[in-house]
Amino acid sequence: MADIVKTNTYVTDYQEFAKHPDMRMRYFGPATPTSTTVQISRLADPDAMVEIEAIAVIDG
Amino acid sequence: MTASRSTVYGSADGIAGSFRSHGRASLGTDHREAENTVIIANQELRETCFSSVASVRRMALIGSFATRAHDAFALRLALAQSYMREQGIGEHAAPYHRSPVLRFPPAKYTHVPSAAPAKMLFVAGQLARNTQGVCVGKGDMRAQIQ
Repeated sequence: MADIVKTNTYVTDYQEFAKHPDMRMRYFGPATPTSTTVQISRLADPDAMVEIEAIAVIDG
Repeated sequence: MTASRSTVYGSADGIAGSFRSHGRASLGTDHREAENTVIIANQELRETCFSSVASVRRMALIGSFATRAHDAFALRLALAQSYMREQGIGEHAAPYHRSPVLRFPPAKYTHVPSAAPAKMLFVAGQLARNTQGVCVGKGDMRAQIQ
């Protein structure tokens, strides 16, 4: 997780997602990566409420 | 306001070696450190380094090494701080810093992370699915985030 420098988060209900900022802090800690979060009408899985993609940088 | 920097070669405080000093003269702040000081940005690594320094200090006392040895080692550890780049003291700037023009309170993410040339991994979007591929935490945003 410490290698992740950017996340893109897709949520179906941003208001509900925003109720849980502590979850991000739990996994990333204070050195959180840069982030973009967008609300969309639905994800590929109709039951899914959130999908997170990431870019990480590791030693070559 | 700009930071002033200078390199002082020779002995400082009785400890032989090369030292550099930098600070902000306008604020009356300055400090001195070893030329080859390691800047530590990671909290976990910082704790490990401090623990190592403590171990060396104990060894120095037990082994009757030169009393200056552990102090010289400790001088070579410095703490990275996010605002140092803004103040023009790049040696102490943390690799992950918050941009002065993009700062939002409360900041739950870093606005401008930087990375040296390295291998990049692009991780596909991750859904809350179990090993059978079935979505878990249906209707529960918190569970799906986890």
